[in-house]
Amino acid sequence: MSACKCFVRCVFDERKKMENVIRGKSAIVIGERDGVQGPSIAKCVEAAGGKVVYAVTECFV
Amino acid sequence: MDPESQGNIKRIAESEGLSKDDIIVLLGASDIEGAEISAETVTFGDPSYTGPLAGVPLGLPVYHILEPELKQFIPEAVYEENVGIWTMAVDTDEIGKRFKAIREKVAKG
Repeated sequence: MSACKCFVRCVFDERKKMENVIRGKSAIVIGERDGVQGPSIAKCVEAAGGKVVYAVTECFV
Repeated sequence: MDPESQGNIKRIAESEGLSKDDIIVLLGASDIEGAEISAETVTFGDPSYTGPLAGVPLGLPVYHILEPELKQFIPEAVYEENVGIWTMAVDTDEIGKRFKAIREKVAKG
């Protein structure tokens, strides 16, 4: 593979890796009482540019 | 996963005006096996066949908030304040590996 093609591929892979999978998405958040809770995940989603459409904290006792 | 949550997820995923491509599901369970079952429920259907998603393969992209892959998209201060403590208690690399495998399985159909 030529150096040019290699460079293009590296840049493409890097951009693919950096694509924000949360931004602009409608997020369904399922937290857990004994783990990361719904509101905590929701704050992360909103800070990353996503919109929370449903959030819950489940509890299995 | 709670049947009520399953019903709500089904309603959202099937609602008009919202494409499945625009939806992601984020989980927060600290138990890896439990998180995997929830992930399978929103992708391939409820494996216990007890909730509204029994036999309903929604195929939604599912992530765990503790996956290393997601951390880069969340401002560091927000991440540390809200979920940072859990990264010390859970094997985040293992979670990342298992959830990636589920997403790849969904992508293959």
